[in-house]
Order: sequence, then structure tokens, then C-alpha cells
Amino acid sequence: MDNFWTTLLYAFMSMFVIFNYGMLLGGVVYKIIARVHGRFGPPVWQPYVNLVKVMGVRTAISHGIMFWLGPVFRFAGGIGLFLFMPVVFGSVWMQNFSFSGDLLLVIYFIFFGQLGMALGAAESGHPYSPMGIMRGLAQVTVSEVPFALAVIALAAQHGTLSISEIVAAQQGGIANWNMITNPVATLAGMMAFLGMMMHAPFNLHLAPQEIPVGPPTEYHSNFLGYMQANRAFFASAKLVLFMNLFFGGATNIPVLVGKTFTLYMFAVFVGVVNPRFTLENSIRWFIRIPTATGIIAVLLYTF
Amino acid sequence: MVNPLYIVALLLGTGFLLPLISKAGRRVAFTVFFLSLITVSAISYQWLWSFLFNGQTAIMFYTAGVEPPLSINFLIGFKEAIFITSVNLMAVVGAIYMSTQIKETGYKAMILFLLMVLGLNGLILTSDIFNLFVFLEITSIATFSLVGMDLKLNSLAGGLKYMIAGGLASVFLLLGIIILYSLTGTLGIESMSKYVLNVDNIKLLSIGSFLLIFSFIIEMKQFPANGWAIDVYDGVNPGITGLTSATGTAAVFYSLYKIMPIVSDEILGTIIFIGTLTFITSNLIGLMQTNPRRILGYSSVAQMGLVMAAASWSVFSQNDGLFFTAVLPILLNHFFAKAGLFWITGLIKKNDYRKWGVIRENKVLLGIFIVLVLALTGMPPFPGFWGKWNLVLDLASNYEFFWIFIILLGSLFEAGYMLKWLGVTLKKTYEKDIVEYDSYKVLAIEIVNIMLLIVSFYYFFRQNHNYMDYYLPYTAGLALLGLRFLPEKIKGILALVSIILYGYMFLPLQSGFVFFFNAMFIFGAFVLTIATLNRKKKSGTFYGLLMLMIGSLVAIANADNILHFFISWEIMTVTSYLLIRRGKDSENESFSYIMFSLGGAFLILLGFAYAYSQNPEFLGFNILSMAQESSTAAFILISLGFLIKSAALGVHIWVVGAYSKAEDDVTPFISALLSKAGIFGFVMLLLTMGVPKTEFIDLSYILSWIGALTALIGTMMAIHEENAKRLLAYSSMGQVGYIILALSIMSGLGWTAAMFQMINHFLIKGVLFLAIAGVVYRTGTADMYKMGGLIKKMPWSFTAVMFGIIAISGVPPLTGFGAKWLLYEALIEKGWYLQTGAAFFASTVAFLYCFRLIHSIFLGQPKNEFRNVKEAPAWFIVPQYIFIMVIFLFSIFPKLLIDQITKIVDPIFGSGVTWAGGTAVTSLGYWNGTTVMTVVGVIFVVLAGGLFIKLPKVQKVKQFNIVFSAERPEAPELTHFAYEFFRPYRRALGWMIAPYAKNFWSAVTEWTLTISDSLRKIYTGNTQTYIFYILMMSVVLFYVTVGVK
Repeated sequence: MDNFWTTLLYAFMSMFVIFNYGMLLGGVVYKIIARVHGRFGPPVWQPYVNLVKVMGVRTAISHGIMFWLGPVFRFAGGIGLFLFMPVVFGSVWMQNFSFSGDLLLVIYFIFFGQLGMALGAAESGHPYSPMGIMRGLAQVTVSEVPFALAVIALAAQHGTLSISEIVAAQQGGIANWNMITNPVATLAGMMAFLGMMMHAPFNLHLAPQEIPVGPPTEYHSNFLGYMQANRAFFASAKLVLFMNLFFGGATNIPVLVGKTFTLYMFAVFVGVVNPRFTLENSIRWFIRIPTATGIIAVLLYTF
Repeated sequence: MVNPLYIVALLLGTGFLLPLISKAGRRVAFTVFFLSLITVSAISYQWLWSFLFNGQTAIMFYTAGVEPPLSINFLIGFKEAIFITSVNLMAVVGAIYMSTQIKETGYKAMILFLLMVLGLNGLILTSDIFNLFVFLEITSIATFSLVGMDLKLNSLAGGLKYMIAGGLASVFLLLGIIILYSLTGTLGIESMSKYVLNVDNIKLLSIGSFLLIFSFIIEMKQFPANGWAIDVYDGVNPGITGLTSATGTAAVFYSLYKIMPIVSDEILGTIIFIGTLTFITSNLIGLMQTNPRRILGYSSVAQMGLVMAAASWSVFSQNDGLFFTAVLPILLNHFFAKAGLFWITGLIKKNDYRKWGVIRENKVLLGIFIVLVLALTGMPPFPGFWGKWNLVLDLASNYEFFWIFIILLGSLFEAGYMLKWLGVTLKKTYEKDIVEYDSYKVLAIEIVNIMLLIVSFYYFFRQNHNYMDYYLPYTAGLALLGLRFLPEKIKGILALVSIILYGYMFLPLQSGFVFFFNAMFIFGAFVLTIATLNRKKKSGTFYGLLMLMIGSLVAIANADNILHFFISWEIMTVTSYLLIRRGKDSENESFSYIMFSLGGAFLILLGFAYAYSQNPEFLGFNILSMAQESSTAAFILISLGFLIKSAALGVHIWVVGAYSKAEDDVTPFISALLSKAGIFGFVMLLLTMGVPKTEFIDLSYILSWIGALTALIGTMMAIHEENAKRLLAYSSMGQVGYIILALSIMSGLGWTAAMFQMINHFLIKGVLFLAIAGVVYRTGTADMYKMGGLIKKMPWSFTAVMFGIIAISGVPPLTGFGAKWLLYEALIEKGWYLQTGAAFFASTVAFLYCFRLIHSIFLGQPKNEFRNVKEAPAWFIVPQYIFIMVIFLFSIFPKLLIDQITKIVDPIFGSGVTWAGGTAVTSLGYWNGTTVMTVVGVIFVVLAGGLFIKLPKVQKVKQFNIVFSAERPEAPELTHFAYEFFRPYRRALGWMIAPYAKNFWSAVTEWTLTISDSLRKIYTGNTQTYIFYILMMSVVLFYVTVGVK
């Protein structure tokens, strides 16, 4: 029992850290994108402002129970994903509930939030919501293919599916990172990473700057607030996952911040200079070179 | 005991006296005629009885105190008694059938009839070869004349062809007799068979034997000298055709059998070859027929070929027992079924089988028709099945696998056209027609049916008398068929009670895997039957068929040797076919289903034969483990059969049609339970045999790819379907692919994964199909894009489907994740990484169709016609939630289920999953389902609570209250995004699901039918052509067998 409460306390602490990190990350990215485009951009704390504003809206509209539950699912998915991962290697208080399941649990839990969100948005009755969902789901499912192959290659390499053990195997200097010891898998994984982070060229389902399309179409007020808060968790969680898998994990928070930030910048920079893929094109893109890379990564360990 | 010569005397005497007696009136004459037939039958029956129960031995009777050939001598033994009883009884029934016609035509017809029966009896009883010729002539003349009894053009033409061919046959016979007499100096059949061994002039002997046999080849209507026969069957009065097809064939066959010991082994081999060739070509040609009489004609010819070949084989291999275990059952099966069916065509005079739906006006005739067709197709429990089974096993013990394959292929063709006919008859709309039912004819048909059932029961009991317990599962189904008049709800409750009884009876007897499967079948059948209680329409046969199917599943799961397994497998196939056929517009789909299923069943039989060949006389499953050299062949064949049942990739094209066209409350049974029968087969196969080691290829590796690709392609095809049932059908195909993949790993972890996934799929498909059945019941359509927005009106169904799709896609925390986790751990542990990737891709694609299913039906905007639908009836909702509760139980406490599974898997494969407290641990990773569920639950509740507190004043709006781009859409019907939901996916990845398999099987069908059609064309209808064929055949066959020297 004592153990349980301690774990819970630690979980809250790590959630707090990551939440703020995620929000600030978002703000910094806005700034960078703006500067690349030749603008000044909003202040770094803009995401907090957005959140406060949205949570303070006084009216709200609901289309039904599922609609109501959609953002809950989403947010639960984001937090859950974060909580099932070990964040900082060797740290006592940043292990969360990672003893509940291994890498497979983490990968599949990514879909929990998406599924719930999809159901909620679709109940809104707005045709653009399912359109966005269809595009988002289709893209995510196909971007998972190179990712899964990369993960399998890692599991074959280290003989384990436990994230902690994979991170442990990468300690002892940069030469031990999976980026160096298993470059093909890392390559496949990073290409999948672009799809998962949903920046251009893979941001069709949200299609910002165009018509308001996608799951958030009918959401506002606190519903939207939940979704925005979730972005902080979800993005950070995915970054931490990739960091743990391919880039040696982090033994303290500054290293965590540094690595994840660099990783995110990779996606942002690719996104900022590229136009958007249509859905067929993104599917075709993923099923060719990334998947082929993944297959090669796996084949290297089959023989 | 009455001297059998009195049979001849009585018939002849009555025949002479009839012109006198008829002066007293038609009815008196007919009574005398009928009584003489009955007396003759009684005499035959008395002999049969004393052979069966009083230990009678064979007796030879002489006449006139003189030796043959100046007199007649009759030999009556056990076989002869069987034959004359059958022939005479059938003559009685035939007389009943044709009573109206005979009475009309007068004493001439009666005399000819008696003469024909006399000839048949003589053929069977005589033991002198010249007498044989005489009686053959008598029979032929009587038959020709009877044929001309109704003066129609077709009859006379057929009769003429019959006469000419018969005349040729007589010529050959006489020539053969002359030669053989000159060589051996005797005309007695038994003495001749002894003397031929001492003959010097082998060449002349072989010529004589050949001529003798060839005449019978003509008489038995063998290919290709049989065009005239089909025209006879087609044109002649069906009363006569039925009678001659049964009795004439039997008598002529028996005469041939009697002279077989005279001829050499080479000629016996020729007979086997011709017989088998006829069997397969006749059935092949029959595929293209649309005229029922010609269909029956081809079937008759084929059966004769098979019987002839089997009898010759029994003489060749000196295996007299085979005559009783194989030849006789097949012959008797044909005997009764053909007579019955020809006589039914006499009532339903339609020339095109597609118009036979009219038989449904008379339920009795329909029932008899179904029974007879199933008997002819070789289904258990009819004698044809036993005959073929024993023949196959005997051939197997002699390693004659090629012949087994030919026989099974021919049987498949025969099943093809018979079942096509049956399928059309069962449901197709028909023109209402007044069919006149002559009550005598109906009575005759009913008697024939009863005789068939008696013979079936006799053979069934003989082969199974020690094992009657195993057939208890069928009693409920048969009882419900008998109690067809009860109201539907009562029958449903009786069905539920009997399922519980079966569970009570059989579960305590079993352990291990068998117990596991039994429990799943019983529990599943019980819950799914609750949903059938919703039925409003009265149906006589639904519950009977359903319980027979469930009974067959229970029987399969409790079988302990290959015979029981196979019988129950066939019964499962037939009953599920009939159930699927009940669906609307299901003609083609159900036919495709049964052809694939039968093909699979025959492959399994062939595999069993391979295993049996190494261990003849044993029927237990352990012959599979002792199969040694044949083990690879047996394994491949049997697993192919089970793969077909599980709808693996390449043989899956039947699955989507069968599932979608079956009635809505039948599909859950097929998906949740029947597909598991194939898995059960696999489990038993792998447990007894393992995966045989071969030199070049790893069979388990191939099996794993079959499973992985089935999962992938099945799932990819599901996402593009517009019809909910078709979508779920492809989904089933994919999910079962996972099970096959897991089984092929052959490790503790792999089999744990397989069993877990199986339970998972069974529960989920039950939920999903039941929910869809409820929705279809309310909306009247299964097309998803026609629905939409039903969540408000059908919240219970929605929630059930939501849980179902979360479970099936493998998202934690429900059981689906556990199945996937176990599977991936097992695959990576085995080192099969590419298959893991394919499985993973399939799993993610599953999200797509899951979302499509729930969104298109329940979310989005409703259509106007469905604004007021009601929730699905409670009969559908209750079973769904029973399953959901079980799913939740296993999700929160996965250890409960996994422990049960590891108990049965670990003793065989070693441990795959161990437990550290509540965490499942494998060599690669770990998972604690309970903690996951708790964490997720807590987060969810906290967040939901937070939202609820923060948003007290939420305004609820109706579904259509949407605005976009400052625009208000006009009509809700136009704003439901559902049709071609994944069009971009199809554009990008459509090449993966190009219909390769469908094209392949279409091509196979095309080619078969084309060959059938071109073979058919050799029958020109022109008698001269037929005679030409006969003569050509004699020449060719002569040179092939006897040779030029």
C-alpha cells in the first residue's frame, strides 16, 4: 500500500514536470516556426494563455454522451501513455507505472486515445470530423508499419521488450546508442516518427490554415481545453518513447529536455519547409522506403 | 424353405393365367398380379432371414433331373438372397408406383412386368452361364416392351436405342460363352472358374473372357459406350426408369460379379479402370446438366462404374469381406435413392431443375427429396457413406492413393450437381403449378424412403454398435425435427435445455484441450441460441437443424477416433449448409460454401487414408502420430482441409458470401463457433502429429505465413466493405488467421496466445454479429451507409459494439490487447520477425474497419426513415451483454483465463508465461492487465469527473445542429460521411487486395465446366454414333488388354 501511494505521488510529480515541459515546448515551436517564416511569433507562454482562455469559456454545447467522453478518452490516452513509460532512467521518481506493461503496451496505448477521440468527434454529426478521423487513422496506421518493424528489430537485437532494459543496454556512451548500433532500425523509426508527430507533410487530418477540418471541428470550451492539454502530454510522451528507444534514454532531466527538444526539432524543421501530402501519397510514401528500411532492419536480425 | 424355382414357376404361371383372369375384370387381374409379386418377395425374404439369423448355408437347386444346360440350376447363397429380396421388394413397390398405368394398359403390361421380374431373379440365381444369357435376354425383351408401354416418341426412341445396344451386348456375350465352353467343356460358372486355370490356349481364353466382360461393360453402361443409356434415362417413363435403374442394374451387376472369378487378373484390372473412368467422367459431364432425368442418368451410370470397379477390386485382391462392407452399401444406396428420385421426377415433370421449386408445395415429397439427394451425395448416415469410407480405407491399406483421389474427385463432382439441384429446389421462387399427385406414386416413394432409412440404420448400427453414446448429441436435433409443429418459443427453450444437458453429459468426461473446446462450444451455443428466441416466423426445421449443427460440434469435440470425427464433420457441413441456405438470395453463396467445405472434407479423408495406410485396422487418432513415411502427405492434406474450413487465404472466397447471406441470427453461430471447429481440427492434428520434419521446407514456417497473410489480407478487405455483415466476415477471416499463425509457432507461448485469441475472437464476434443482427432487424438493411446516427435510438447496441471494437482492435485495457501481447511475444521469441510485422500491420488496419463499422451505423447523421427506430429487442441485447461481462472479467483479471490455458498448454510445450504476482512475464517482456485496467480506469474517472464539475451548464443540441464555414447544411442524409469511407486507402493499397484467389477459382470452375461440356458433346443423340462408340471401344480395349500377338 505504501508502495502504491508513493508511486502515485511520483507519478503526479512527473506529470507536472512533463506538462509544463510540453506546454513550453509548444510555445517555443510556435516561435521558431514564426521566425522561419519571417514573423515575430507569439510569446513562449502562449499555450498557457490559450488553455486558460479556453477553460474559461462560459457556454458549452454537447451532442451527446459519446461526444462528451471523446476528449476524456483523448486526454486519458495521453496521460496513460505517459504513465506507462519509464521517463528518466535510473530515477526513482520518474518511473511512473512502467511496471504495468512493456513496449507493446505503450505502442498499443497510443491508439486508445485516438479511438476514443474518433468516437466522440464522430458523434458530433459534423461530416468534417469523420473525414479528418478517416485521414488521421489511415495515416497513423500506415506509419505504424515501419515503426513496428523498427521495434521488432530492436527486440531482436536486445532480446527484450522492456523499455527499461532497452535503455539500460544503451548506457555507457554514445557508441552504445541504438542509433549507432542499429542504424537501419533507427532510420525506419525516424521516418515513422514524422508520421506520428503529425507535422507537415503528414498533417492532412488537421489541415490547419484551410477549412476547419478534423476531429476538433465541433469542440470548444473545456472540451477543447482537454484536447489542448493533451497535446502537451501526448507529444512529450512520444518524444520520450523515441528517445528511450533509439537515442540512449536520459539519466536526468536536462538531458531529457535536450534530447527530446532536438528530436522534436527534426520533425518541425521537416514540417516547416514541406507542403502537405495527400492521403494516398502519404500512404504510398510510408509503404515504400520506410517499410523497406524496416524490413531490412528486421532481416538483418533474422539471419 | 421354399425352393427358389417356385419363384420362376409362380411368375411364369401367373403370367400365363393372366389373360384368362383378366376376363374377370382389371381389378381382379391386378390383385392377382400384385399378390404374385408379394409372394415372390416373401419367399426371397424367408431365405434372407434364414441366412441372417438361422445360419443357413448356400444350396444348389436342380431341375428336371437333368444337368445343365438342358435344365436350370439355381444357386442360392447369402448374397443371392440379399439381391433377390431387394429386387423383388422393389418390384412390389414399382408395381404400386405404376399401378394406375398398368391397370390402364391391361394384362399385357402385367405379363411383361412379371416376365421382367422373372428374368431378374433368374439372372441373380442361376449358376450356369448359358442360363445367364437366356435370362438376360428375357429381362431385356421384357424391359424393352415395358418401355414401349406408353406410346410416346421419346420412350420409343429410348427403347429402340436400348434394344440395339442390348442386342450388341448379347452378341458379345454369346460369342464369349461359345469360346469359353469350347475351351473348358463346361457351362457351370463355378466349374468354369476352376477349369480356366488349366487351359493351354491362353490367347483364345483371353479373347473369350474379354468378349464376355465387354458385353457386361455395355450392359452396365460404361463410358464411353453409354450415350444410349443416358437417352434411355431421359426419354423413358420414369416409373420404368426408376425400376430398371435400381433392379436391372443390381441384377446385371450381380451376374457380372458371378463371372468375375473366370477371367484373368488383367481383365479384372481393365474392369477397375473402366469403372473408375466412368465414375469420374460421368460425374464430370453431369455438372453441365439441367434436365433432372439426365442428371440422374449420369449419376446412375457413374455409380454403376464405381460399384463395378469396387467389386472387381474385391475379387482381384481376394477380399470377399469388401463386398459386404463397401460394394453392397454403395449399391443399395444407389438402389433406393435412384428409384425414389426417378419416381419423384415422374411426379414433378419439370425438365429444368431450376423449376423444381414447385416441390415445396408438398412438404412430404420435399423432405424425401432432401433425404435422397443427401444419400446420393454420400453423406452419413446413409449407406453410400459407409461404402465409400470402407472402400477408401481398404484402398489405403493397399497404398492405392491415386484411385482414392479419383474416387473422391468424382464424388465431389457428383456432390456438385446434386447439391446445385437441391439448393435451387430449396429456396428459389417458382411458378405456381398444379402438380397432380397420384397417391399411389407418392406411397411408393414413401416406401422407398423408409426402406433406405432402414438399410441406413442397419449399416449405421453395424459399424457403430459399440459407440452409440457418441451419437447422443444428435438426438435433440432429430427430436426437434420431429416436434416441428410446436411453437417457436417452446422449441427454442427446448433447444436451450438440451444444450445444458449436453454440457452436463459431456463436459465431466473430458479434460485438457477437449474440455476447453467443449466448454466454449456449449457456452457459446447456449448464449447465441437465446438470440434466436426473437424469431417470429414459424419454421418447421430451423431449431432441428440448429440443434443438429450444435450436436455435430459437440460430437466433433468429443470424437475419439477418425471415423466419428469424420462423420460429425460431414454432418456439421451439411447442416450448416442447410442453415445458410435458409437466408434470402443465398443460392450461389451457399453452394460455394458447401463445395469448398466438401472439398476440404475429402482432403481430410485422403489425409486420414494416408495415415491409415501405415496402421491398417486402427481408427484411433494415434494413427496420425504413427504415420511415419506417410506423415508429411497426411499432414499437408489434413491441414489443407482445416485451412479451407478456417477460410485461410487462397481458399477464403466462400466466407464473405456465406456469412453475409445467412440469416442474421445464424451468422453468429457460424462465425463464433463453426470456425473454431477448424481450429479444433488443427489443434488435434498438431497435438497428435506435431509438424512433420521435411528435408527442404519447414512446414510450420509456411503455415505461419499462411496465417499472417490471411490476417493481413482479410483485414485489408474488410475496410472496403459497405455491408456490415461482409465487413465482419472478412474480419473473422483475419482474426482466425491470427490463431493459425499462433498455432504454427509450436511453443508454449504461441499456443497460449492461440487459445487466448480464440476465446477473445469467439466472445467478440458473438457480440458484434448479434449487435448487427439487432440493428438489421430494426432497420431492415445491412448496408452501413444507409444508416447513421443510430446512437441516440440504440444506445445499448452502440455500447456493445463500442466494447466489441475496442476488444477486437487490441487496444488496452480489454482482452484484445492480451491476445496481441501474447502473440507478439511468442513470435519474437520464435524469431519470426517478418510475420510479426505483417501481424502488426493487420492489427493496425483493424482499427480502420472497427471505426468504420461503428461510425457508419451509430454516429454521424441519421437518415429520415430511421429517425424512429427502436432499440434492438432484448433477445439480442441480453446475450451480447453476457459476452461483454465475460470480456470485462477477463480484461480485469486476465490471469483467470491465462491460468486455465497454461494448465493445458504447459504440459505439452513447456512454460511460456509465468506469473510474478499479477504480472504476466515472458522471456521478453511483461504485462499486468489488472494494473493497466486500474490506472486507466482511475484516470478516466478523474478526468470525466473534472469535466463534469467544470461544466455544469452544458447545452444539449440535436444531432443536426451543425454549422460549418458559416453554412447550415440542408438535409441530414447528405451529411453522413460513410460511403467508400476509405477510398484513398483503396487507391494507394488496392493492389494488395486484387481478387487473385477469386479469379483463380473462377478459372478452375470455368475449365472444369468447359471440359465437362466438351465431353458431353460426344453424346450426339444419334444411335449410329453410339453403336460406333461401342464397337470402337471394343476394338481399342481389346488391343489394350489382350494385345496383338
